[in-house]
Amino acid sequence: MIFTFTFDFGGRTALVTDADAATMRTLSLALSRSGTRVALFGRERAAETARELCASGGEAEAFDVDYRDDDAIGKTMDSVLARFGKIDLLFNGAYVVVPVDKRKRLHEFDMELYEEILAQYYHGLYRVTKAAVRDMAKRGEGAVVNIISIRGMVPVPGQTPAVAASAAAVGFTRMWGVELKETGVRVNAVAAGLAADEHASGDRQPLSHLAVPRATKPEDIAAAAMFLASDEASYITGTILPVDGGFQAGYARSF
Amino acid sequence: MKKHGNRNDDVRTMFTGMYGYGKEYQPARADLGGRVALITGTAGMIGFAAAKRLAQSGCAIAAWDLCEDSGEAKAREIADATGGNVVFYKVDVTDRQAITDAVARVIADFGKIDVLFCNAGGNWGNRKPVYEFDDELFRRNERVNLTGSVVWLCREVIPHMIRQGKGSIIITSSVCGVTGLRNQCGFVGSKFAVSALTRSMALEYARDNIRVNCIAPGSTPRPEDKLNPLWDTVDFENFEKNFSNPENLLYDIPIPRPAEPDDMAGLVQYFASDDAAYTTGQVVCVDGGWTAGFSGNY
Ligand SMILES: NC(=O)c1ccc[n+]([C@@H]2O[C@H](COP(=O)([O-])OP(=O)(O)OC[C@H]3O[C@@H](n4cnc5c(N)ncnc54)[C@H](O)[C@@H]3O)[C@@H](O)[C@H]2O)c1
Repeated sequence: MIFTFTFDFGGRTALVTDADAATMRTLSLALSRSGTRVALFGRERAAETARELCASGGEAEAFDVDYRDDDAIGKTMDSVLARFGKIDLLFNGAYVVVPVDKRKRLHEFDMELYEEILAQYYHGLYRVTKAAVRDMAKRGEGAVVNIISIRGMVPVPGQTPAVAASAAAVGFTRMWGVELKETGVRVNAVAAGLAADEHASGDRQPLSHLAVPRATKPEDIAAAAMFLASDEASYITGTILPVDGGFQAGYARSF
Repeated sequence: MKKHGNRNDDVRTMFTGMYGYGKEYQPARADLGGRVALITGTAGMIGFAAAKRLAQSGCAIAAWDLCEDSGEAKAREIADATGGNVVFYKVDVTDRQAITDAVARVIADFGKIDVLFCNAGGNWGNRKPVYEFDDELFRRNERVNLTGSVVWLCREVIPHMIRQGKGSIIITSSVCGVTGLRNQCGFVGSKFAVSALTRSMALEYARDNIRVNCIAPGSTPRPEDKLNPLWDTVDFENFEKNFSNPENLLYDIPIPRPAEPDDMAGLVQYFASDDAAYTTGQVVCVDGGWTAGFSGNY
């Protein structure tokens, strides 16, 4: 994987959630290369990534967390702070998509799946951010980047909880962003377009709607997220940066 | 137009007669005779105003609220004022079984549901930034405003609308569901979510002839909100001065008055009617231009 950008995050600590996801793993590797100590929330793949980062001279540790359990999130955040001392940067892996075979209109949607998705991507996002921002506010500085789905800006049929959670994340980003006044913390989001497997699996091909006719790559998202977290973006807060090949900008199909 | 009100009474009477506030304007009338509307939160300001307006237009009303006493009283008030058929149902929209049962009762009583106004809700919070926000209240915003009021209720009503071959669903969001207001993350999250569901539901049900639209009210003070800090700083003696004082809400709101529930009722009536037959998936702010841009001079 080749990045043409570099950021110097030397000495900072980042927390990356949902680190089993490909994009969040790519982001973790890039952060580590930029001198960041990385705490990862996730299962096997996150643990694997942490081992890889340590083997290549970085500092990283993975934490298994149950997002549905509010108390568990609090305890895990305590362990992160005990291990690293602080959290400077929080990258919330809040990208959610409903699997193709589960896509149903609202009146037929599986309500257990609805609750599961809300637990992790709505309540979990709030819980993790709350704990991390509490630590950042104590020091009066910090940056949060929410990696969310473009579905929060361009709703799609058949994915009620993904649309609801992604749109809520847009709202959280904007209002937490203006809470900078009280917290000293900048909050922004990257709204990611559709990944390659989603292009392949959907029953309607959205490629003809894209100004850049290819799927979103993890590197696209990681680069934008690192920029928003960096000091280069110190005047940017409460924004949603769509990294989506132009999907939400307008109607790219000729007719 | 009266130039200014006076400070001595509640917010409603303070502004009466100003910029279309109060009874000065002439409401439009739609003919919705023979239709049935299910409206939630009818013991509250906006639900009551919408129920009354739709009853005046000929709708039979199934009026839902958590509060039994005021719910009953308000339903009777509407029936007396309009001569319409208004039936009150005590329902807590955070109780999924209660929703299922009550929708069945509405269908038994009225035979159909043409218009659904998902409006019960509230803004619960301790007005703190995220790291001090109250967890219990965060959850309540989501349970009532998003999951109960919209997701569960629409799931129950939509199959009836599909069977009928027609329907209009209207959802109450907020300016907080369109733009970010700090220190109220419980409310903002839930309302951004319902603004988006308005659009995804519009996509899902357009081919069943069901339209889904959304109203986003601006600040609509309760009569007892005399001391609401948002309105407390209004200077009625030198009214124009309010427009240059950044501490004053009227500095930000181009139409310099609070929203009133009747402002919402008109839009609800439009969305409910066939005049809106080609309009779906829209979120319309009724906020005096508050979120249109920045009205300061820069
Ligand atoms: N008033 C404002 O400034 C304002 C601004 C933006 C949006 N809104 C929204 O408008 C809608 C109507 O609010 P309002 O201004 O008329 O306020 P309101 O408090 O007068 O009315 C809300 C009603 O909802 C009912 N309700 C609350 N929880 C319920 C539950 N679990 N089950 C059933 N009913 C329940 C309440 O009993 C009340 O009668 C709400 O969704 C609110 O979020 C209001």
